[in-house]
Amino acid sequence: MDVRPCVVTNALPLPELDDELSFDDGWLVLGVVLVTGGPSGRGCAAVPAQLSESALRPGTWVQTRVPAHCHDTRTVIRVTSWPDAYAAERSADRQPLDARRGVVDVLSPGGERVAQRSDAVLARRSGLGDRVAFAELVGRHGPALYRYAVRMLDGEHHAAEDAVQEALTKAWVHLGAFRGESSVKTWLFRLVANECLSARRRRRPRPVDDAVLTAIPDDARAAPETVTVATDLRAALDVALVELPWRQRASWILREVESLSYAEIAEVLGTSSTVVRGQLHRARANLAVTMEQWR
Amino acid sequence: MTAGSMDRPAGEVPSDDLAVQARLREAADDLRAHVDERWVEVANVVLSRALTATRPSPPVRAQAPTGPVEIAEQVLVSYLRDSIDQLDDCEVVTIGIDTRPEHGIDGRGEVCTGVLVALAVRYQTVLIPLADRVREVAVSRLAQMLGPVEPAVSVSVVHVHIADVTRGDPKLTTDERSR
Repeated sequence: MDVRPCVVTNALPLPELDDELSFDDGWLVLGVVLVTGGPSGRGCAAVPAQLSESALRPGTWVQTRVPAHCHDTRTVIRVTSWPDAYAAERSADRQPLDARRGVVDVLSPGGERVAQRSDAVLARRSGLGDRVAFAELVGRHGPALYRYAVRMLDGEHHAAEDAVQEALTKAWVHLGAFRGESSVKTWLFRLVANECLSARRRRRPRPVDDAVLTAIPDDARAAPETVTVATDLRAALDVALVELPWRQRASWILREVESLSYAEIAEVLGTSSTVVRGQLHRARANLAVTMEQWR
Repeated sequence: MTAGSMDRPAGEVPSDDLAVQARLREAADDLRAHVDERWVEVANVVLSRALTATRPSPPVRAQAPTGPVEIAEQVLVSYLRDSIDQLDDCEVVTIGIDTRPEHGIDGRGEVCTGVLVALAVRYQTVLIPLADRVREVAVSRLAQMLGPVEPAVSVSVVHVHIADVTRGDPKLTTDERSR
């Protein structure tokens, strides 16, 4: 089957599904879609190439079915965006294999859906050596961990990748000792936050020739009517976040984006709820000033 | 807070500030739904690398037909969990391996003397027969992995501890009271 990738989020189980390609009450029904990241996770899907991009635009909810050798993998996915660069880099014949591997990873040998398990159960099983359970945990929280790391490391993707890699390696090694005193999500964020802090401490100023310096693009602060709002609002936020001090930035992301409680944020950052409350207040005020022209 | 907001009466929230906060919430929502493309590319590699990390684990002596073999305790735990996981209505919570040092002709090693299996079980499950099944499975699996070690890990040293009772399937969720 000729396929191409798309990014998906919010996949949900689906009890019934038609086999044929058709539109049904606003839902796009696909014959076969390969999904990575698990039914409840986010990730990448490979969809039939004959579907036009306009039919499968970002925001579309899609009913899907993965190949028969993967048991009980009917899902609903939401197409978030088309990663053009990603699609260009990957050859058409390699992508389905990557996607298929992702599907198999989240299924136990018995076909039971691992994604139905709670974080606590997955952590417990991972601690006992269950690699499939750990893969599901990574599929569930990996995107958020990476999103946090990238923004805490000023958009440096390689540094963020290293930080998440190191944090997940430590998580796998030490999950056997995890006693559930905090939520799995909070624990993972604490590992990533510590790695990000270490990465920032290791940084050294490097001399750069003035000739190679370029001005910071000010697109993010351009008048909203002159740019595509949805994308550039996020870009503006990224620029504004870089200008925030470390703790303010971390507090704001963990609260507003990842929806952690004050107590959980305090645990991730190794501080108190009172300090988090203050940092969050200052972060909101600073962001309001930086983002003022987006009102 | 914008500069102009200083002139407004106390308690009145400037509409401009509300608009900015609304845009910030919108940006946060957008960021929450966003999956970095780079993560999509590297997720499988990151996961694979993490899983290659070895957990520190003491070796346990096993007896193969051709001679003694040492197996990491973590391997015993993984295999036992996998075997017990095939049983319905129970979920392994922890597995502890008891060992004692032993001097053999090939040097000093640790010999397995017992296994403690802690389970979570579904409410109203009949516990004693389940414990017996778990014990049988564990002993059988240990015999496959450790061989004819002396003294053999007998049924009497494989304890089954009912550590938790759940309202739903223990393989899917933990009881809120136990968190």
